[in-house]
Amino acid sequence: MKAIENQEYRNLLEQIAKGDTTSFAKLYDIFWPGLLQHISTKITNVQVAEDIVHDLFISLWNRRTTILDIESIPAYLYSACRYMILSYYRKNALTNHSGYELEEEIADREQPLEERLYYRYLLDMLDIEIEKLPEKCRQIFKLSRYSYLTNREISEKLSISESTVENHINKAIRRLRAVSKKHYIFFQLFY
Amino acid sequence: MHKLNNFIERIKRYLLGEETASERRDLYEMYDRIDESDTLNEEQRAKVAMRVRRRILQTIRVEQHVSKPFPFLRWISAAAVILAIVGGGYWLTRQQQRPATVEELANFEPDKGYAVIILPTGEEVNLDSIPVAQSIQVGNTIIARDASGEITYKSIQAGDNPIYALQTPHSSISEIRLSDGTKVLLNAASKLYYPAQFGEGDRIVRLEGEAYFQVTKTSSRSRFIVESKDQRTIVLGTKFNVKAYDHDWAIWTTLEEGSVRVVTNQNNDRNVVLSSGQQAVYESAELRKQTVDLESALGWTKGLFYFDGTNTADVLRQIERWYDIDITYKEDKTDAQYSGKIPRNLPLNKLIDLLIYADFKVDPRINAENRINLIIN
Repeated sequence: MKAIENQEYRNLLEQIAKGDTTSFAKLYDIFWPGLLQHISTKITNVQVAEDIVHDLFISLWNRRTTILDIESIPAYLYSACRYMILSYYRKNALTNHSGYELEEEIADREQPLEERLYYRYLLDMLDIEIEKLPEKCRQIFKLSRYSYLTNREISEKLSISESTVENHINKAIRRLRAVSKKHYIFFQLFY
Repeated sequence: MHKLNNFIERIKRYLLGEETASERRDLYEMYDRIDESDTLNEEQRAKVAMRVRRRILQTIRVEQHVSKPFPFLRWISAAAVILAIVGGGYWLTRQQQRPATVEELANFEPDKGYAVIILPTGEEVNLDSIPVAQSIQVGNTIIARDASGEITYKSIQAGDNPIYALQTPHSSISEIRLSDGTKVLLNAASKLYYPAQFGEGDRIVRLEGEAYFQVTKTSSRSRFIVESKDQRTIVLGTKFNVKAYDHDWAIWTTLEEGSVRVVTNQNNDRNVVLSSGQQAVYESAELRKQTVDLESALGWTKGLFYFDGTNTADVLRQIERWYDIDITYKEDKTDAQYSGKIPRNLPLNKLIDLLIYADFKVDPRINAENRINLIIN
Protein backbone atom coordinates (compact mmCIF):
# COMPACT_ATOMS: atom_id res chain seq x y z
CA MET A 1 0.00 0.00 0.00
CA LYS A 2 2.96 2.26 0.54
CA ALA A 3 4.25 2.42 -3.00
CA ILE A 4 1.35 4.38 -4.37
CA GLU A 5 2.13 7.97 -5.17
CA ASN A 6 -0.25 10.78 -4.48
CA GLN A 7 -0.46 11.93 -8.07
CA GLU A 8 -2.01 8.72 -9.24
CA TYR A 9 -5.19 9.17 -7.29
CA ARG A 10 -5.18 12.82 -6.32
CA ASN A 11 -7.28 13.99 -9.27
CA LEU A 12 -9.72 11.13 -8.70
CA LEU A 13 -10.47 12.54 -5.26
CA GLU A 14 -11.78 15.80 -6.66
CA GLN A 15 -14.22 13.90 -8.86
CA ILE A 16 -15.22 11.66 -5.97
CA ALA A 17 -15.88 14.71 -3.81
CA LYS A 18 -18.43 15.74 -6.45
CA GLY A 19 -20.09 12.34 -6.21
CA ASP A 20 -18.60 10.63 -9.26
CA THR A 21 -19.00 6.87 -8.82
CA THR A 22 -16.75 5.97 -11.77
CA SER A 23 -13.78 7.73 -10.16
CA PHE A 24 -14.61 5.98 -6.94
CA ALA A 25 -14.48 2.63 -8.72
CA LYS A 26 -11.05 3.62 -10.09
CA LEU A 27 -9.86 4.48 -6.61
CA TYR A 28 -11.02 1.06 -5.49
CA ASP A 29 -9.12 -0.57 -8.35
CA ILE A 30 -5.91 1.20 -7.31
CA PHE A 31 -6.12 0.14 -3.69
CA TRP A 32 -7.77 -3.26 -3.48
CA PRO A 33 -4.66 -5.34 -4.26
CA GLY A 34 -2.65 -3.98 -1.35
CA LEU A 35 -5.64 -3.92 0.92
CA LEU A 36 -6.73 -7.49 0.26
CA GLN A 37 -3.18 -8.72 0.46
CA HIS A 38 -2.94 -7.21 3.92
CA ILE A 39 -6.33 -8.43 5.09
CA SER A 40 -5.68 -11.96 3.95
CA THR A 41 -2.74 -12.16 6.33
CA LYS A 42 -5.01 -11.16 9.22
CA ILE A 43 -8.40 -12.71 8.55
CA THR A 44 -9.15 -16.26 7.50
CA ASN A 45 -12.88 -15.85 7.00
CA VAL A 46 -13.45 -14.71 3.41
CA GLN A 47 -16.92 -13.36 4.11
CA VAL A 48 -15.58 -11.17 6.91
CA ALA A 49 -12.72 -9.97 4.69
CA GLU A 50 -15.25 -9.03 2.03
CA ASP A 51 -17.41 -7.17 4.51
CA ILE A 52 -14.44 -5.24 5.80
CA VAL A 53 -13.38 -4.08 2.36
CA HIS A 54 -16.96 -3.19 1.52
CA ASP A 55 -17.57 -1.23 4.70
CA LEU A 56 -14.21 0.48 4.43
CA PHE A 57 -14.98 1.86 1.01
CA ILE A 58 -18.56 2.68 1.83
CA SER A 59 -17.43 4.70 4.81
CA LEU A 60 -14.96 6.50 2.55
CA TRP A 61 -17.80 7.19 0.13
CA ASN A 62 -19.98 8.46 2.95
CA ARG A 63 -17.46 11.16 3.71
CA ARG A 64 -16.70 11.91 0.05
CA THR A 65 -17.46 15.63 0.35
CA THR A 66 -14.54 15.97 2.74
CA ILE A 67 -12.37 13.28 1.16
CA LEU A 68 -9.77 15.90 0.16
CA ASP A 69 -9.03 16.46 3.84
CA ILE A 70 -7.49 13.01 3.95
CA GLU A 71 -3.89 13.74 3.21
CA SER A 72 -2.90 10.19 2.48
CA ILE A 73 -5.50 7.72 1.27
CA PRO A 74 -3.17 4.71 1.72
CA ALA A 75 -2.46 5.76 5.30
CA TYR A 76 -6.16 6.25 5.89
CA LEU A 77 -7.04 2.86 4.45
CA TYR A 78 -4.36 1.14 6.47
CA SER A 79 -5.37 2.79 9.70
CA ALA A 80 -9.08 2.22 9.10
CA CYS A 81 -8.55 -1.36 8.03
CA ARG A 82 -6.57 -2.15 11.16
CA TYR A 83 -9.35 -0.61 13.22
CA MET A 84 -11.97 -2.83 11.63
CA ILE A 85 -9.87 -5.95 11.89
CA LEU A 86 -9.18 -5.35 15.59
CA SER A 87 -12.86 -4.70 16.07
CA TYR A 88 -13.59 -8.04 14.43
CA TYR A 89 -11.04 -9.82 16.66
CA ARG A 90 -12.82 -8.46 19.68
CA LYS A 91 -16.23 -9.57 18.51
CA ASN A 92 -14.83 -12.93 17.62
CA ALA A 93 -13.26 -13.35 21.06
CA LEU A 94 -16.53 -12.34 22.67
CA THR A 95 -18.57 -14.85 20.70
CA ASN A 96 -16.18 -17.69 21.37
CA HIS A 97 -16.24 -17.16 25.11
CA SER A 98 -19.77 -16.96 26.35
CA GLY A 99 -18.42 -16.92 29.90
CA TYR A 100 -17.35 -13.36 29.37
CA GLU A 101 -19.66 -11.02 31.19
CA LEU A 102 -21.19 -9.00 28.45
CA GLU A 103 -21.71 -5.35 29.06
CA GLU A 104 -23.48 -3.05 26.68
CA GLU A 105 -22.51 -3.82 23.14
CA ILE A 106 -19.72 -1.46 22.30
CA ALA A 107 -20.29 2.17 21.64
CA ASP A 108 -19.75 1.18 18.03
CA ARG A 109 -23.18 2.45 17.56
CA GLU A 110 -22.88 5.89 19.00
CA GLN A 111 -20.84 7.44 16.26
CA PRO A 112 -20.99 6.69 12.55
CA LEU A 113 -18.24 4.39 11.37
CA GLU A 114 -16.78 6.98 9.02
CA GLU A 115 -16.33 9.38 11.92
CA ARG A 116 -14.63 6.80 14.08
CA LEU A 117 -12.35 5.71 11.24
CA TYR A 118 -11.34 9.27 10.49
CA TYR A 119 -10.66 9.98 14.14
CA ARG A 120 -8.54 6.86 14.33
CA TYR A 121 -6.66 7.87 11.20
CA LEU A 122 -5.86 11.27 12.73
CA LEU A 123 -4.65 9.68 15.95
CA ASP A 124 -2.42 7.31 14.00
CA MET A 125 -1.09 10.15 11.85
CA LEU A 126 -0.37 12.14 14.97
CA ASP A 127 1.59 9.21 16.35
CA ILE A 128 3.68 9.09 13.21
CA GLU A 129 4.30 12.84 13.29
CA ILE A 130 5.41 12.69 16.90
CA GLU A 131 7.98 10.08 15.95
CA LYS A 132 9.29 12.49 13.33
CA LEU A 133 10.02 15.26 15.87
CA PRO A 134 13.70 15.94 16.68
CA GLU A 135 14.82 13.55 19.38
CA LYS A 136 15.02 15.86 22.36
CA CYS A 137 11.80 17.54 21.44
CA ARG A 138 10.06 14.20 21.05
CA GLN A 139 11.36 12.84 24.34
CA ILE A 140 10.13 15.89 26.24
CA PHE A 141 6.81 15.98 24.44
CA LYS A 142 6.15 12.34 25.27
CA LEU A 143 7.06 12.78 28.92
CA SER A 144 4.63 15.65 29.05
CA ARG A 145 1.69 14.15 27.14
CA TYR A 146 2.02 10.44 27.71
CA SER A 147 3.65 10.20 31.14
CA TYR A 148 1.82 13.28 32.38
CA LEU A 149 4.91 14.79 33.99
CA THR A 150 4.86 18.50 34.77
CA ASN A 151 7.39 20.81 33.16
CA ARG A 152 9.21 21.02 36.50
CA GLU A 153 9.39 17.22 36.81
CA ILE A 154 10.72 16.94 33.27
CA SER A 155 13.33 19.58 33.88
CA GLU A 156 14.49 17.75 37.01
CA LYS A 157 14.49 14.38 35.31
CA LEU A 158 16.54 15.59 32.33
CA SER A 159 18.58 18.20 34.24
CA ILE A 160 17.60 21.04 31.95
CA SER A 161 15.91 24.32 32.67
CA GLU A 162 12.15 24.58 32.90
CA SER A 163 12.07 27.18 30.13
CA THR A 164 13.92 24.81 27.80
CA VAL A 165 11.27 22.20 28.50
CA GLU A 166 8.57 24.72 27.70
CA ASN A 167 10.30 25.74 24.48
CA HIS A 168 10.53 22.17 23.30
CA ILE A 169 6.91 21.48 24.02
CA ASN A 170 5.79 24.60 22.23
CA LYS A 171 7.95 23.72 19.29
CA ALA A 172 6.43 20.25 19.16
CA ILE A 173 2.92 21.63 19.23
CA ARG A 174 3.71 24.16 16.53
CA ARG A 175 5.10 21.48 14.28
CA LEU A 176 2.29 19.05 14.83
CA ARG A 177 -0.21 21.78 14.12
CA ALA A 178 1.58 22.84 10.98
CA VAL A 179 1.38 19.29 9.72
CA SER A 180 -2.35 19.26 10.00
CA LYS A 181 -3.81 22.62 10.66
CA LYS A 182 -7.12 21.63 9.17
CA HIS A 183 -7.78 19.17 11.88
CA TYR A 184 -9.55 20.79 14.75
CA ILE A 185 -9.01 17.60 16.68
CA PHE A 186 -5.42 18.48 17.44
CA PHE A 187 -6.48 21.56 19.29
CA GLN A 188 -8.73 19.45 21.42
CA LEU A 189 -5.86 17.16 22.14
CA PHE A 190 -3.44 19.82 23.16
CA TYR A 191 -5.48 22.32 25.05
CA MET B 1 -9.90 -16.08 30.94
CA HIS B 2 -8.41 -13.10 32.66
CA LYS B 3 -6.02 -12.59 29.83
CA LEU B 4 -8.83 -12.79 27.34
CA ASN B 5 -10.96 -10.24 29.17
CA ASN B 6 -7.95 -8.00 29.23
CA PHE B 7 -7.53 -8.36 25.49
CA ILE B 8 -11.19 -7.64 24.87
CA GLU B 9 -11.08 -4.61 27.17
CA ARG B 10 -8.00 -3.20 25.52
CA ILE B 11 -9.45 -3.43 22.06
CA LYS B 12 -12.57 -1.80 23.33
CA ARG B 13 -10.67 1.19 24.69
CA TYR B 14 -8.83 1.41 21.41
CA LEU B 15 -12.09 1.28 19.45
CA LEU B 16 -13.41 4.12 21.52
CA GLY B 17 -10.18 6.08 21.06
CA GLU B 18 -9.51 5.98 24.80
CA GLU B 19 -6.35 3.89 24.92
CA THR B 20 -3.03 5.20 26.23
CA ALA B 21 -0.06 5.52 23.90
CA SER B 22 1.64 2.47 25.33
CA GLU B 23 -1.53 0.38 25.12
CA ARG B 24 -1.80 1.37 21.51
CA ARG B 25 1.79 0.41 20.87
CA ASP B 26 1.25 -3.02 22.45
CA LEU B 27 -1.90 -3.58 20.47
CA TYR B 28 -0.24 -2.62 17.19
CA GLU B 29 2.71 -4.86 17.94
CA MET B 30 0.35 -7.73 18.61
CA TYR B 31 -1.45 -6.87 15.37
CA ASP B 32 1.77 -6.82 13.37
CA ARG B 33 2.71 -10.25 14.68
CA ILE B 34 -0.46 -11.83 13.36
CA ASP B 35 0.24 -13.62 10.15
CA GLU B 36 -2.23 -16.09 8.76
CA SER B 37 0.25 -16.47 5.90
CA ASP B 38 -2.06 -15.41 3.16
CA THR B 39 -5.39 -17.15 3.40
CA LEU B 40 -6.17 -16.26 -0.18
CA ASN B 41 -3.96 -16.65 -3.20
CA GLU B 42 -3.74 -13.94 -5.81
CA GLU B 43 -6.42 -15.39 -8.01
CA GLN B 44 -8.86 -15.76 -5.13
CA ARG B 45 -8.16 -12.22 -4.03
CA ALA B 46 -8.97 -10.93 -7.50
CA LYS B 47 -12.28 -12.79 -7.35
CA VAL B 48 -13.10 -11.40 -3.95
CA ALA B 49 -12.12 -7.92 -5.14
CA MET B 50 -14.50 -8.08 -8.08
CA ARG B 51 -17.32 -9.36 -5.95
CA VAL B 52 -16.81 -6.59 -3.41
CA ARG B 53 -16.50 -4.03 -6.21
CA ARG B 54 -19.98 -4.95 -7.45
CA ARG B 55 -21.34 -4.81 -3.93
CA ILE B 56 -19.81 -1.41 -3.26
CA LEU B 57 -21.17 0.09 -6.46
CA GLN B 58 -24.55 -1.41 -5.76
CA THR B 59 -24.60 -0.04 -2.21
CA ILE B 60 -23.65 3.40 -3.49
CA ARG B 61 -26.41 3.29 -6.06
CA VAL B 62 -29.04 2.00 -3.71
CA GLU B 63 -27.97 4.58 -1.16
CA GLN B 64 -28.89 7.34 -3.57
CA HIS B 65 -32.50 6.17 -3.45
CA VAL B 66 -33.19 4.65 -0.11
CA SER B 67 -31.48 5.87 2.98
CA LYS B 68 -29.65 2.83 4.20
CA PRO B 69 -28.77 1.94 7.74
CA PHE B 70 -25.21 2.71 8.52
CA PRO B 71 -23.07 -0.09 7.04
CA PHE B 72 -21.24 -1.14 10.16
CA LEU B 73 -24.54 -1.92 11.82
CA ARG B 74 -25.51 -4.03 8.87
CA TRP B 75 -22.23 -5.82 9.26
CA ILE B 76 -22.86 -6.48 12.90
CA SER B 77 -26.42 -7.56 12.42
CA ALA B 78 -25.61 -9.72 9.43
CA ALA B 79 -22.94 -11.40 11.51
CA ALA B 80 -25.37 -11.75 14.38
CA VAL B 81 -27.97 -13.36 12.19
CA ILE B 82 -25.52 -15.77 10.64
CA LEU B 83 -24.30 -16.71 14.09
CA ALA B 84 -27.80 -16.95 15.36
CA ILE B 85 -28.97 -19.18 12.56
CA VAL B 86 -25.99 -21.44 12.84
CA GLY B 87 -26.69 -21.51 16.55
CA GLY B 88 -24.95 -19.47 19.23
CA GLY B 89 -24.38 -15.72 19.20
CA TYR B 90 -27.83 -15.46 20.64
CA TRP B 91 -26.93 -12.78 23.13
CA LEU B 92 -25.52 -10.49 20.54
CA THR B 93 -28.77 -8.90 19.52
CA ARG B 94 -30.46 -8.83 22.86
CA GLN B 95 -28.43 -5.82 23.88
CA GLN B 96 -30.09 -2.46 24.35
CA GLN B 97 -33.45 -3.68 23.27
CA ARG B 98 -36.89 -3.22 24.66
CA PRO B 99 -40.01 -5.24 23.93
CA ALA B 100 -42.03 -4.00 20.97
CA THR B 101 -45.68 -3.13 21.58
CA VAL B 102 -48.55 -4.58 19.56
CA GLU B 103 -49.27 -1.11 18.15
CA GLU B 104 -45.73 -0.72 16.94
CA LEU B 105 -45.84 -4.09 15.25
CA ALA B 106 -49.24 -3.48 13.68
CA ASN B 107 -48.16 -0.10 12.39
CA PHE B 108 -44.80 -1.29 11.23
CA GLU B 109 -44.54 -0.78 7.53
CA PRO B 110 -41.38 -1.78 5.82
CA ASP B 111 -40.09 0.93 3.55
CA LYS B 112 -41.41 -0.59 0.34
CA GLY B 113 -38.97 1.06 -2.01
CA TYR B 114 -39.61 0.55 -5.68
CA ALA B 115 -38.34 -1.53 -8.55
CA VAL B 116 -36.02 0.31 -10.88
CA ILE B 117 -34.56 -0.30 -14.28
CA ILE B 118 -30.94 0.71 -14.47
CA LEU B 119 -30.03 2.00 -17.90
CA PRO B 120 -26.58 1.53 -19.42
CA THR B 121 -25.84 5.13 -18.53
CA GLY B 122 -26.38 4.32 -14.86
CA GLU B 123 -29.63 6.27 -14.85
CA GLU B 124 -32.44 4.63 -12.92
CA VAL B 125 -36.08 4.59 -13.91
CA ASN B 126 -38.75 3.94 -11.33
CA LEU B 127 -41.10 1.34 -12.81
CA ASP B 128 -44.06 2.74 -10.91
CA SER B 129 -43.54 6.04 -12.68
CA ILE B 130 -44.68 4.52 -15.98
CA PRO B 131 -48.47 4.56 -16.35
CA VAL B 132 -50.26 1.48 -17.65
CA ALA B 133 -50.56 1.34 -21.45
CA GLN B 134 -48.06 4.14 -21.92
CA SER B 135 -44.43 4.49 -22.72
CA ILE B 136 -41.68 6.89 -21.84
CA GLN B 137 -38.38 7.64 -23.47
CA VAL B 138 -35.21 7.94 -21.44
CA GLY B 139 -32.11 8.69 -23.47
CA ASN B 140 -32.07 6.17 -26.28
CA THR B 141 -34.47 3.80 -24.59
CA ILE B 142 -38.22 3.56 -24.92
CA ILE B 143 -39.86 1.88 -21.95
CA ALA B 144 -43.46 0.79 -22.30
CA ARG B 145 -45.96 -0.73 -19.93
CA ASP B 146 -48.78 -2.66 -21.57
CA ALA B 147 -52.33 -2.99 -20.31
CA SER B 148 -51.45 -6.04 -18.21
CA GLY B 149 -48.71 -4.09 -16.44
CA GLU B 150 -45.89 -5.88 -18.21
CA ILE B 151 -42.81 -3.86 -19.05
CA THR B 152 -41.05 -3.97 -22.43
CA TYR B 153 -38.46 -1.68 -23.88
CA LYS B 154 -36.13 -1.18 -26.75
CA SER B 155 -33.25 1.00 -27.82
CA ILE B 156 -34.00 3.43 -30.64
CA GLN B 157 -30.43 3.45 -31.80
CA ALA B 158 -29.84 0.91 -34.56
CA GLY B 159 -27.13 -1.63 -33.87
CA ASP B 160 -27.00 -0.62 -30.22
CA ASN B 161 -27.49 -3.47 -27.78
CA PRO B 162 -27.20 -2.07 -24.28
CA ILE B 163 -27.28 -4.05 -21.05
CA TYR B 164 -30.04 -3.20 -18.63
CA ALA B 165 -30.61 -4.19 -15.06
CA LEU B 166 -33.87 -4.64 -13.21
CA GLN B 167 -33.60 -4.20 -9.48
CA THR B 168 -36.26 -4.98 -6.90
CA PRO B 169 -36.52 -3.52 -3.40
CA HIS B 170 -36.59 -5.81 -0.37
CA SER B 171 -40.33 -6.23 -0.19
CA SER B 172 -41.76 -6.51 -3.65
CA ILE B 173 -41.29 -8.67 -6.68
CA SER B 174 -41.26 -7.69 -10.33
CA GLU B 175 -41.90 -9.42 -13.62
CA ILE B 176 -40.18 -8.87 -16.92
CA ARG B 177 -40.32 -10.35 -20.42
CA LEU B 178 -36.98 -10.56 -22.20
CA SER B 179 -36.50 -10.06 -25.93
CA ASP B 180 -36.76 -13.80 -26.69
CA GLY B 181 -40.09 -14.03 -24.88
CA THR B 182 -38.61 -15.54 -21.73
CA LYS B 183 -40.49 -14.48 -18.62
CA VAL B 184 -38.62 -13.72 -15.44
CA LEU B 185 -40.19 -13.19 -12.05
CA LEU B 186 -37.63 -11.40 -9.91
CA ASN B 187 -37.91 -11.93 -6.17
CA ALA B 188 -37.34 -9.18 -3.60
CA ALA B 189 -33.90 -7.64 -3.09
CA SER B 190 -32.64 -9.00 -6.37
CA LYS B 191 -31.09 -7.74 -9.55
CA LEU B 192 -31.13 -9.07 -13.09
CA TYR B 193 -28.80 -7.85 -15.84
CA TYR B 194 -29.87 -8.58 -19.40
CA PRO B 195 -29.28 -7.25 -22.91
CA ALA B 196 -32.01 -5.30 -24.70
CA GLN B 197 -31.79 -7.87 -27.51
CA PHE B 198 -30.36 -11.35 -27.38
CA GLY B 199 -27.92 -12.02 -30.22
CA GLU B 200 -27.42 -15.13 -32.35
CA GLY B 201 -25.48 -17.20 -29.83
CA ASP B 202 -26.14 -18.03 -26.19
CA ARG B 203 -28.64 -15.91 -24.33
CA ILE B 204 -26.84 -14.78 -21.20
CA VAL B 205 -28.27 -12.96 -18.19
CA ARG B 206 -26.77 -12.29 -14.80
CA LEU B 207 -28.67 -12.72 -11.54
CA GLU B 208 -27.97 -11.42 -8.06
CA GLY B 209 -30.64 -12.76 -5.73
CA GLU B 210 -33.56 -14.98 -6.70
CA ALA B 211 -35.65 -15.36 -9.83
CA TYR B 212 -38.06 -17.79 -11.46
CA PHE B 213 -37.49 -18.26 -15.19
CA GLN B 214 -39.85 -19.50 -17.86
CA VAL B 215 -37.47 -19.79 -20.75
CA THR B 216 -38.76 -19.80 -24.30
CA LYS B 217 -37.18 -22.41 -26.50
CA THR B 218 -35.83 -20.63 -29.58
CA SER B 219 -35.46 -22.39 -32.90
CA SER B 220 -31.79 -21.55 -33.17
CA ARG B 221 -31.11 -24.00 -30.34
CA SER B 222 -29.31 -21.21 -28.53
CA ARG B 223 -28.78 -21.93 -24.88
CA PHE B 224 -30.13 -19.71 -22.13
CA ILE B 225 -27.54 -19.15 -19.40
CA VAL B 226 -28.09 -17.64 -15.98
CA GLU B 227 -24.86 -16.47 -14.45
CA SER B 228 -24.98 -16.01 -10.72
CA LYS B 229 -22.65 -15.97 -7.79
CA ASP B 230 -20.22 -18.87 -8.24
CA GLN B 231 -22.25 -20.83 -10.81
CA ARG B 232 -23.98 -20.90 -14.17
CA THR B 233 -27.31 -22.53 -14.99
CA ILE B 234 -27.56 -23.64 -18.59
CA VAL B 235 -30.87 -24.52 -20.25
CA LEU B 236 -32.64 -24.82 -23.56
CA GLY B 237 -36.26 -24.20 -22.74
CA THR B 238 -37.70 -24.81 -19.31
CA LYS B 239 -39.08 -23.49 -16.02
CA PHE B 240 -36.70 -23.17 -13.12
CA ASN B 241 -35.75 -21.09 -10.14
CA VAL B 242 -32.31 -19.81 -9.14
CA LYS B 243 -31.71 -18.49 -5.67
CA ALA B 244 -28.29 -16.92 -5.29
CA TYR B 245 -28.29 -14.13 -2.73
CA ASP B 246 -24.92 -12.73 -1.84
CA HIS B 247 -25.33 -13.33 1.86
CA ASP B 248 -26.88 -16.77 1.76
CA TRP B 249 -24.86 -19.81 2.66
CA ALA B 250 -25.68 -21.69 -0.53
CA ILE B 251 -27.13 -21.39 -4.02
CA TRP B 252 -30.27 -23.33 -4.81
CA THR B 253 -31.31 -24.16 -8.37
CA THR B 254 -34.71 -25.80 -8.64
CA LEU B 255 -36.16 -27.32 -11.76
CA GLU B 256 -39.90 -27.39 -12.35
CA GLU B 257 -40.03 -28.54 -15.95
CA GLY B 258 -37.59 -29.57 -18.71
CA SER B 259 -33.93 -29.96 -17.94
CA VAL B 260 -31.08 -27.73 -16.82
CA ARG B 261 -27.37 -28.11 -16.20
CA VAL B 262 -25.76 -26.35 -13.27
CA VAL B 263 -22.05 -25.63 -13.70
CA THR B 264 -19.91 -24.18 -10.93
CA ASN B 265 -17.36 -21.47 -11.66
CA GLN B 266 -14.79 -23.08 -9.39
CA ASN B 267 -14.24 -26.09 -11.53
CA ASN B 268 -15.77 -26.61 -14.92
CA ASP B 269 -15.94 -30.35 -14.49
CA ARG B 270 -18.22 -30.02 -11.55
CA ASN B 271 -21.78 -29.93 -12.80
CA VAL B 272 -25.10 -31.67 -12.40
CA VAL B 273 -28.06 -32.13 -14.67
CA LEU B 274 -31.43 -31.77 -13.00
CA SER B 275 -34.70 -33.30 -13.93
CA SER B 276 -38.10 -32.06 -12.91
CA GLY B 277 -38.57 -31.77 -9.14
CA GLN B 278 -34.87 -31.81 -8.38
CA GLN B 279 -32.76 -29.14 -6.79
CA ALA B 280 -29.04 -28.45 -6.99
CA VAL B 281 -27.49 -27.09 -3.82
CA TYR B 282 -24.08 -25.48 -4.14
CA GLU B 283 -22.70 -25.02 -0.67
CA SER B 284 -19.12 -24.52 0.49
CA ALA B 285 -17.62 -25.73 -2.79
CA GLU B 286 -19.83 -28.85 -2.83
CA LEU B 287 -22.46 -29.29 -5.49
CA ARG B 288 -25.17 -31.81 -4.66
CA LYS B 289 -28.53 -32.83 -6.00
CA GLN B 290 -31.69 -33.45 -4.02
CA THR B 291 -35.37 -33.98 -4.52
CA VAL B 292 -37.43 -31.08 -3.37
CA ASP B 293 -40.98 -29.99 -2.65
CA LEU B 294 -41.64 -27.70 -5.63
CA GLU B 295 -44.54 -25.99 -3.94
CA SER B 296 -42.24 -24.94 -1.13
CA ALA B 297 -39.29 -23.93 -3.30
CA LEU B 298 -41.52 -21.85 -5.55
CA GLY B 299 -43.79 -20.60 -2.76
CA TRP B 300 -42.52 -17.07 -3.18
CA THR B 301 -43.84 -16.88 -6.75
CA LYS B 302 -47.32 -17.40 -5.29
CA GLY B 303 -46.78 -14.75 -2.64
CA LEU B 304 -46.17 -17.18 0.23
CA PHE B 305 -43.64 -17.92 2.89
CA TYR B 306 -43.60 -21.68 2.83
CA PHE B 307 -42.39 -23.78 5.75
CA ASP B 308 -42.05 -27.36 4.52
CA GLY B 309 -40.81 -28.96 7.71
CA THR B 310 -37.12 -28.79 6.81
CA ASN B 311 -36.42 -25.19 5.90
CA THR B 312 -37.20 -23.16 9.03
CA ALA B 313 -33.98 -21.13 9.11
CA ASP B 314 -34.25 -20.41 5.43
CA VAL B 315 -37.84 -19.16 5.57
CA LEU B 316 -37.09 -16.99 8.58
CA ARG B 317 -34.32 -15.53 6.47
CA GLN B 318 -36.85 -14.73 3.74
CA ILE B 319 -39.13 -13.07 6.27
CA GLU B 320 -36.23 -11.04 7.54
CA ARG B 321 -35.40 -9.86 4.05
CA TRP B 322 -38.99 -9.10 3.13
CA TYR B 323 -39.86 -6.99 6.16
CA ASP B 324 -36.33 -5.62 6.48
CA ILE B 325 -36.18 -6.56 10.14
CA ASP B 326 -33.75 -8.71 12.09
CA ILE B 327 -34.58 -12.19 13.23
CA THR B 328 -32.53 -13.95 15.82
CA TYR B 329 -33.26 -17.61 15.59
CA LYS B 330 -31.70 -20.23 17.74
CA GLU B 331 -32.04 -23.49 15.94
CA ASP B 332 -32.50 -26.48 18.13
CA LYS B 333 -32.09 -29.69 16.21
CA THR B 334 -34.21 -31.61 18.67
CA ASP B 335 -37.14 -29.29 18.08
CA ALA B 336 -39.99 -30.29 15.88
CA GLN B 337 -39.74 -28.61 12.49
CA TYR B 338 -42.48 -26.36 11.28
CA SER B 339 -44.67 -26.59 8.25
CA GLY B 340 -47.25 -24.22 6.89
CA LYS B 341 -47.85 -21.33 4.55
CA ILE B 342 -47.95 -17.67 5.45
CA PRO B 343 -49.01 -14.96 2.99
CA ARG B 344 -46.35 -12.39 2.29
CA ASN B 345 -48.49 -9.29 2.55
CA LEU B 346 -49.49 -9.46 6.22
CA PRO B 347 -48.91 -6.70 8.76
CA LEU B 348 -46.07 -7.71 11.02
CA ASN B 349 -48.25 -8.30 14.09
CA LYS B 350 -50.44 -10.75 12.14
CA LEU B 351 -47.37 -12.56 10.89
CA ILE B 352 -46.14 -12.89 14.46
CA ASP B 353 -49.55 -14.21 15.52
CA LEU B 354 -49.27 -16.90 12.86
CA LEU B 355 -45.75 -17.79 13.91
CA ILE B 356 -46.91 -18.12 17.49
CA TYR B 357 -49.86 -20.17 16.33
CA ALA B 358 -47.40 -22.45 14.55
CA ASP B 359 -45.76 -22.93 17.96
CA PHE B 360 -42.79 -20.63 17.60
CA LYS B 361 -41.87 -18.63 20.65
CA VAL B 362 -41.55 -15.08 19.42
CA ASP B 363 -40.15 -12.22 21.42
CA PRO B 364 -40.43 -8.99 19.40
CA ARG B 365 -38.00 -6.30 20.48
CA ILE B 366 -36.92 -2.87 19.32
CA ASN B 367 -33.31 -1.86 19.56
CA ALA B 368 -31.68 1.53 20.03
CA GLU B 369 -31.83 2.26 16.29
CA ASN B 370 -35.56 1.58 16.26
CA ARG B 371 -35.00 -1.58 14.34
CA ILE B 372 -37.28 -4.50 15.00
CA ASN B 373 -35.69 -7.73 16.07
CA LEU B 374 -37.73 -10.90 16.49
CA ILE B 375 -36.10 -13.30 18.87
CA ILE B 376 -37.43 -16.70 17.93
CA ASN B 377 -36.89 -20.05 19.55
